Amino acid sequence: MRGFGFYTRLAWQGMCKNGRVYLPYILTCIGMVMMYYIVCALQNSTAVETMRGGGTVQEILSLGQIVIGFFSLLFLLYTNSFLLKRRKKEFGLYNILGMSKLNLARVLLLETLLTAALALLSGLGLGLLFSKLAELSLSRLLSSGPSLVFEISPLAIISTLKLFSLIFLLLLANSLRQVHMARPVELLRAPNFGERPPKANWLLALLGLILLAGAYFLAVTIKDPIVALGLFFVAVIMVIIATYLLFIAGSVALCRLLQKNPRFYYQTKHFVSTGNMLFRMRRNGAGLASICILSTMVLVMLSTTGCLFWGKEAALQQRFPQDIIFSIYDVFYPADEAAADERPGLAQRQNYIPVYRELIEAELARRGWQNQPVLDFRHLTTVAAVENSRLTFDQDKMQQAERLVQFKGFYYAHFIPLDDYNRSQASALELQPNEVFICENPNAPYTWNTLSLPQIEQLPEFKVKSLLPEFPHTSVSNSEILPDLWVVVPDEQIMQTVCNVQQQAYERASSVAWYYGFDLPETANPSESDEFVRVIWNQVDERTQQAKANGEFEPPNIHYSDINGERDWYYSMNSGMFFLAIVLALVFVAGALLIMYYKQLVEGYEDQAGFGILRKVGMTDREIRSSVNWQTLVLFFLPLVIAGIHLAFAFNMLLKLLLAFGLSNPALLVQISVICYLIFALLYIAAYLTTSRIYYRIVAS
Amino acid sequence: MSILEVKDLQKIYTTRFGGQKVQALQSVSFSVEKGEWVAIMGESGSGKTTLLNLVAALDRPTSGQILLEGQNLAQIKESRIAAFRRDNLGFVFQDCNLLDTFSLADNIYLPLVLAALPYKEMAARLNPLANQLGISSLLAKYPYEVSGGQKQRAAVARALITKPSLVLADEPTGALDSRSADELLELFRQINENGQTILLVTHSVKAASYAGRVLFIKDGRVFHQLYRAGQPQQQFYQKIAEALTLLSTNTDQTNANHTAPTQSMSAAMQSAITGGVD
Repeated sequence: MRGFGFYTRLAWQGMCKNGRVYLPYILTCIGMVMMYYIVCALQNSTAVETMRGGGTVQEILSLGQIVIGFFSLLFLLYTNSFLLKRRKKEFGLYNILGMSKLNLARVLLLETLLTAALALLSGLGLGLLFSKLAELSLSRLLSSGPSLVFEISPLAIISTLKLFSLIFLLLLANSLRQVHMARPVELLRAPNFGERPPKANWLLALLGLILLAGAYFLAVTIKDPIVALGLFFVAVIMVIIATYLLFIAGSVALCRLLQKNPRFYYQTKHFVSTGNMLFRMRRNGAGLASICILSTMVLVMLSTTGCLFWGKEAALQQRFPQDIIFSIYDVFYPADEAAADERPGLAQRQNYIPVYRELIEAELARRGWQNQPVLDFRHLTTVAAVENSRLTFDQDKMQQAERLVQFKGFYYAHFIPLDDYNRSQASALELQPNEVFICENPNAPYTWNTLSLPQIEQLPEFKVKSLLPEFPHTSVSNSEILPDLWVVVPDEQIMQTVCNVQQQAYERASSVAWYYGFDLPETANPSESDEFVRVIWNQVDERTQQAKANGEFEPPNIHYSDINGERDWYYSMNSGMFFLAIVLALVFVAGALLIMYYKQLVEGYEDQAGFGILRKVGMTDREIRSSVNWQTLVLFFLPLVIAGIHLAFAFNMLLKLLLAFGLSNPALLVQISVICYLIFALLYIAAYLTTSRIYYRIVAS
Repeated sequence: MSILEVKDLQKIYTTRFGGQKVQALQSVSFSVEKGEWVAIMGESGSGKTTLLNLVAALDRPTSGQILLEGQNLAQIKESRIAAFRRDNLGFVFQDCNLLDTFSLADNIYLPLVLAALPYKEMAARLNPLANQLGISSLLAKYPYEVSGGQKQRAAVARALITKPSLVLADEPTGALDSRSADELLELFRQINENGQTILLVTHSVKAASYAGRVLFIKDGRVFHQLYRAGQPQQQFYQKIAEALTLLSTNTDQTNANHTAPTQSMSAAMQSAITGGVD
């Protein structure tokens, strides 16, 4: 087949001649293939699987694989359509010189094949090379030992080949469609006929402004982490729409406004730039908005997951305040014989508290840990509304608050008998039957001298004897969502009475529970906590079996939490998310930079003619240069600056989101966001310097 | 006093890597008096565009001098040249060269904005000029909204608004239909009658016949020159056409001129004196 060589040569030459646009495109293809392979390979790697928490990371990575695949498709379609636009003229020429569209299709097919082959071979090669590096850094993040085996994952290779063959097929289809639809005269026509000046769309600009203000207001004023979780995506969508509107319509409106002011407009500095900017923003508004949103996404992703990664131990401690915590629920203290007879099984449960306590203390003593401080108390924890010293349980009011997301006046109320308080705090406080203690809470100070429960007739209005120091952090406190209110009542009967009324008021009510938590001594091995929990569990289980065999009431289940058992999962979850965020950030940043590069290139070609005229009319090269500088600077750094503003306004919301993940460390978030922003800005500036050089070269020629 | 004096101008282009040399202008001398309208004719590649670029100070001559109102262009510092061009020269190009991104008014303002004139004065200059050129009603429009002739008028307004001592027009009727071309040339006549000096480079005999004097350039030299000297336009048109025919057929003489440039110069001077060609 003689023609084959000719077409191959034509395709190859076409790519070489357009190196300025093709090289970055091919590099992007290679980069995308590499990234996709690495993520796939890690996901299938046995080395990762055997890391501590590797399984969790692999689950997270499978999500990342989908995101990267999807992004690759969209992004390569975008860049490919850009390439086609640039080459339309060349194809038109071939067409007029007698090449049929079929022949053109052949050239395109060969080009796509060449690109695909190059991208897949180099991408996979680099992927193989760097997957080990990625694996090592992952093992580092998970703080597990490195594996020394070099793995090649055939599964990942196949998956990469499948996906990218599909993508290249789609790209080819798109190119063929474009060439097929185009008419040769159109293909040849210079793209340089007068352009209608963009009209300012004040309505859209205003809408964008309002949306942005709304989103910012939402983000800044939000207080509740659960609400933040729900509204985060609302705010994100509002910001995305607002960014697009402001970049597309708002920028034009602003330029128009500037043009209406002759004092400003008719100055050498502003004249040319303002006019050019007007047209540029129309062409580039969407692209710049995309860059801005990608940048914001990268920054938000990196700073939050970074925070989760570096704050993972703090979050873990917040969630598991003591290393080992045992608890029993549904404890019942009947008021009298009749009440006990009504629910005989429940009435028995309270007797097991001392039994289990004994078991645990025996095991503590056996291990020589008996001197560890212990938090040991019974409590009723429930939601209550407190208004003007009156504490009530009101289902309707609570549901309304949930609907309106307005929890002011609601508390997480903890009722704890005086004996238990004294035991857990090693104190010897006393109370009269009509007195209570209240523990201080700096977040929501209790300001009244009395406490009454109007729903419970038999209880008096309590006098607050004094404020006690803040109660230690426990896993039943929930300071992030509602403020805690610790009420020390004279005895467990009062606690039980409150419990009963609360159970009548709420559909999903709480019960009295027992809490027993302690830390492992520093000398202990973390794995001992698991052994400890197991010993107790087995003993309780034995008793349950015995009770069953004897036909007695079953002893209550003992619940436990063990921080060391949770740590692996927690760490791998947070590290995995951080790792994925880094991988995605790399992909997104590469995407944003490439969009920028192409923008500069297109603008260079578009501005060439205009600057030629300006030179003839008497603009000095220096003036041209400074005007160009100013324009590219604004265009380039606008997305970066806006992304920074978005990030700053999102700060409060991100903080609340992190609270929902159990992390409250504003300083850490500030540090990490600022570092992320600086690194990002550096990358951005480097990209700007390289691409603007290309722009100058085009404009100056 | 001459506004423009061109003395023994020579321009040699060297290809980028030093290999080939191309002589665009061999030895060109002429002068333009104040209030004169001089047309320069010649075929493609004759060097007329090179000449225009040199006069416009867009390019520097290899040797020779250009004096604009007594000022030697070669002595103007590189940093001042753009400002000099802006203040002393007006340009009208074949393809208008209006910026698509500006309204006609802003296009016309452009050189004044670059000269940092206050807005009031700019507006004061534009209004009478726009009236004269008949584009007052079009000022707020954008180039894509108006016809080629109207665009070219705006370009003329842009050239005139700086009150330049010399207007350089490069094939201004080249892209226009004949009616618009006639209108534009009438406009030039009007401007010229008001005392504006014009240097027009053109292919078109019709356009050249509006001028007061026509220089013919061939192979980088002033080959011939015709004065209108009060002849009716139709008669001048004939003369120019004849001269052009002579120019393209008389190849022997052209070759001879190559070897003896001085002789040809004197021939040109001769015809300048007699005001015609035999």
